Amino acid sequence: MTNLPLAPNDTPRGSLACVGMGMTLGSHLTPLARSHIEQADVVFSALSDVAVEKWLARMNPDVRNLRPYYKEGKPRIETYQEWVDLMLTEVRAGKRVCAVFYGHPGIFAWSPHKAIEIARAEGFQAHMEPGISAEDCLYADLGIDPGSHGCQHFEASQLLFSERRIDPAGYLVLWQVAPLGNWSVGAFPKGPAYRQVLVDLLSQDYPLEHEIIIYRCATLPIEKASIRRAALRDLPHLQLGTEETVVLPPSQPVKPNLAIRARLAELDKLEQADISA
Amino acid sequence: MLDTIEWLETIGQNASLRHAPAEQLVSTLDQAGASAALKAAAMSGDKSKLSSEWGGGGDGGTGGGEGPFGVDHSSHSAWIDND
Ligand SMILES: C[S@@+](CC[C@H](N)C(=O)[O-])C[C@H]1O[C@@H](n2cnc3c(N)ncnc32)[C@H](O)[C@@H]1O
Repeated sequence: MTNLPLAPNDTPRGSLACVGMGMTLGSHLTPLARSHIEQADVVFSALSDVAVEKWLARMNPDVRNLRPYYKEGKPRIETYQEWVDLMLTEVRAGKRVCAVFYGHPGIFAWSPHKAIEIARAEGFQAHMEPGISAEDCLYADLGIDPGSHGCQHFEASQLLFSERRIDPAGYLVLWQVAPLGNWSVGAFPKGPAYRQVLVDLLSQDYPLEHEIIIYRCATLPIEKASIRRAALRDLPHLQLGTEETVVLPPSQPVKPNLAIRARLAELDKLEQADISA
Repeated sequence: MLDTIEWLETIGQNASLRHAPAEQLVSTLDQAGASAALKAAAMSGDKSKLSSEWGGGGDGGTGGGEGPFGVDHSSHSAWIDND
């Protein structure tokens, strides 16, 4: 019998799985994500509700909450870097680590991607399991098919700080509008002033009276989705929760591309000519 | 008898309960001896009514998403630093 080569002793044993809890307690957790949670040596969590935290605590005896690392006046990016360090310390110690995030762990979430990247670079097994995100719920609750008109998603501050091209013939989904301008937890809220700049920017592509939708999906199954409608001009002064996503429906029809259509018609004609020859 | 977390999990996974009219859900909860806080939350659809079950907290006990320490972990300042 041939001896199978044994893994060298220094092969790292630790691993990392970043999984999604989905948005609604009880409804969205996939069997595979649940199995990662149950089989892990250590579980880290960043979740939407205390109830969801308590639910998770029943799936594994060693769940460590990442939320207390947010501190008044501390830049959020420092907290996210700490989360990455915490996860990797346990991976390097040879543990099977599972990090659980609400929604999808890779959607508008920096630390899961970063932790996986570093773990892999250090030779550990690391991967992500998708979860049902706010985006998925939004399509269902608002009756939007991203394929009908196209759909752009932006982190609101990136839209302000970078030159991006907005297509008003499709849907525009803006994430993290509430914390706009507040890089540290508890910082003096610059929200309304920053949101006014956002409205000015958007008004280059949308009329000020254009309807916007402020959307929040249910995180507990006793809730209903919240769907509020307002005019774009009112965005700076609306009460916005950190769990809300802003949607701008199309303001223009999808225009036919006449030049490309003509080119394609030429191609079709050539094909026809080839067939009849 | 189920506790509140077990009830939430049960409601979340049950097609009849998840979208049941509030009165119907509350009557099911009532017959099964669910807590007053859960019944009030189910009746109003307001999760803050559950906070007494978790002993309150800085965010009113509603949890991560809301309040100053809400989990809001995207790259929104990371990409500025990294660019
Ligand atoms: C850091 S991102 C996390 C998104 C999450 N990973 C997901 O898969 O949906 C936070 C943003 O997600 C959106 N969000 C979070 N909770 C939400 C909810 N209950 N309903 C709608 N949007 C939500 C908001 O735009 C918020 O600013």
